[in-house]
Amino acid sequence: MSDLESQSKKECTLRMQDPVGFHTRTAAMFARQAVLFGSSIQVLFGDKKAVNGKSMLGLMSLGVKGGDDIRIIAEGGDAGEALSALRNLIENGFFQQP
Amino acid sequence: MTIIHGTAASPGIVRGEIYFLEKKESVPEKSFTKNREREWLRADAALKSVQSNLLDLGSRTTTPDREKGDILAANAQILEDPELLAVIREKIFNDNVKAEWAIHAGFRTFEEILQGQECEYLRARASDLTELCGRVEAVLKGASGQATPLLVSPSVIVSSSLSFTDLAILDESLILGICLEKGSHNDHAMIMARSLGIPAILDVDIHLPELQPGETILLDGDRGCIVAGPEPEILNEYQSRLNEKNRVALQIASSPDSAAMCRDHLPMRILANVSSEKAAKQAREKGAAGIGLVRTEFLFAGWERIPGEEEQYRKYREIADLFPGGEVVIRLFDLGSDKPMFGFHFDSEANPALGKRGIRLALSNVETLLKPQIKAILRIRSAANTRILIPMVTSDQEIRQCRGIIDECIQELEGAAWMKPEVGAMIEVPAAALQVDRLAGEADFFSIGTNDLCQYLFACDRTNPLVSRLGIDADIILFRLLLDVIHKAHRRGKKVSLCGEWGQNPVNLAFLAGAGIDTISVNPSFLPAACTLLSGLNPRRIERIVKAAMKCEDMQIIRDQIRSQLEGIES
Repeated sequence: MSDLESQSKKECTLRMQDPVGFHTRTAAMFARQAVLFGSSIQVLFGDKKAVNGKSMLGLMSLGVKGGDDIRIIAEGGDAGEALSALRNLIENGFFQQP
Repeated sequence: MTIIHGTAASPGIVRGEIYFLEKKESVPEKSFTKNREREWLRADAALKSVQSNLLDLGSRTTTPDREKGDILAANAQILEDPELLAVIREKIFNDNVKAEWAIHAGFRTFEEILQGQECEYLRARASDLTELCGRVEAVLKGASGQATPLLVSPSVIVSSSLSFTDLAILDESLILGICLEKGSHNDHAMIMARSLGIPAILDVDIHLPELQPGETILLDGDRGCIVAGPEPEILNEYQSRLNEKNRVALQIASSPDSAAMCRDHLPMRILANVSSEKAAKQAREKGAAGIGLVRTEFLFAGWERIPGEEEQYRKYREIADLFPGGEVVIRLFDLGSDKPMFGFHFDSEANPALGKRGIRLALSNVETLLKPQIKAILRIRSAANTRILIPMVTSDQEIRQCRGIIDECIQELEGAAWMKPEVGAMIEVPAAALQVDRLAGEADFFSIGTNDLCQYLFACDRTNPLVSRLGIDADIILFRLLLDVIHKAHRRGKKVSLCGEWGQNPVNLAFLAGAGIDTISVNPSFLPAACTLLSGLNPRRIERIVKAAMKCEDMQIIRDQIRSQLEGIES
């Protein structure tokens, strides 16, 4: 896990803890969280094109499974908070019901 | 008669009438517009309308089905997905197409992406998108998008496909089984079918002439086939196969070990009814978790005087010691009507069954009859988790009075608060059955005495051979009353048990399992059979079957529906 910081752009690499990866429910939860932030959120997996983290369909299309590593790039004024919230979700949060 | 083959998707066997669900699939015309802003507003409004319908359905779900609510909410969220909206918007503003085509194209884009996924689960999600698209298109056409109830009686759904929203809209308690032309094991509808215990099969040619609306079919979700137009011999064969399995399961003296083992995994507890120390010993050997009913008057059968406190204490202690720390429910002396006991005579009453008996008698003889017994019971409190059961309760006041007397006894014994047992009420008088709400204010638990309840409900004397069978074979009102009692007690947080012989009939037992009874108490000899039978039931499925069956008026159908769940007990 590494954090690269620049002016308003932050990113990190995380391991998907939820065994199903991005399925309907987990993708929906991630997108719902991402949409709360003003920053743009991009999610990258393997050599696939980056997807909009606020789109559950986009996230599902990545085909991320449990145990896979994903990269999240947040850009904007609240990039730090966004990353922190999304990291929490990927690492613990999917088990909690909204 | 025809056997139609398909792919098993959700286990179970059911027999019911076909309900044909029509599906119309269409591709909209690609038409163009000059007013792009208007088309965007139309598209947006349609998306929001379907979204709010789904959210509405999700919150209206009556079963505590987390799964269904989550799925509906997640799919509602798709309708505001920024990437989807971006594609739709682009089609309208760049290509000048109307809303219908833009919506269709937008959903198609993502359907294709999902269909190209490696993961089977994700590929199956493509059909969710098709379903959503269909709903939005329907709204654009002018449909209100409101869900209208389609099922009115328990049915087997036959359709080309079934979406999660279809399942959400249909009253699931009326769905006996599902038979589809298309679909995959991982469709949300199949996932839900499995979690609800609804038998289902896929890949069936639904256009066969045998599958007509209203026809009764047998759906076998275990083997993945349908028997259409089952001939009477086949039905009988099926039924006797079920009956045979039940008979074998029930006649059995399966080893007490298996009874003890399976009892821990059942949704309800199984205790024993005893009227003697010998029976209590037998109960322990057969693996009872405790005693659900000690018929105390039988422990002193033939006594012409009231047993003293010490004499009672010794007998209760003997029984309690067989279940150290275990549950022992002791019913206060239930004297009256049948025979003279303890020096009490009932000859003077014209109608002793409806006279001074049970707790009424005890409350008129507090010092001589009630207190010695209560004190004896209190004194064994250290040996077992004893609870007191009050017979013939008709009012909450009787319970209150008993509690007061229990307090007095504790004081007189110079005992402490820990001696205070839970106090339950027998539900055997219709007046009690009809005011469970109120009694729940005073009682800690309830115990249904079907022997007497049937007697009073159907006004027939069970010792009179001319009418003793009346009502015992479960007239529908008894089933409904039992359901109501359990439901009302649970609403007040109180548990319900059933102690009568009625619970030893397999269909009745399965009914009780589906009705949510907390405990049943049976004769020790029936314990292993009860365990075997109950461990073969899928709790959610039987719950659903009972709920669906109870919407019928025909007792035979209800019994058949329930009996069909007793199949496969051995497997």
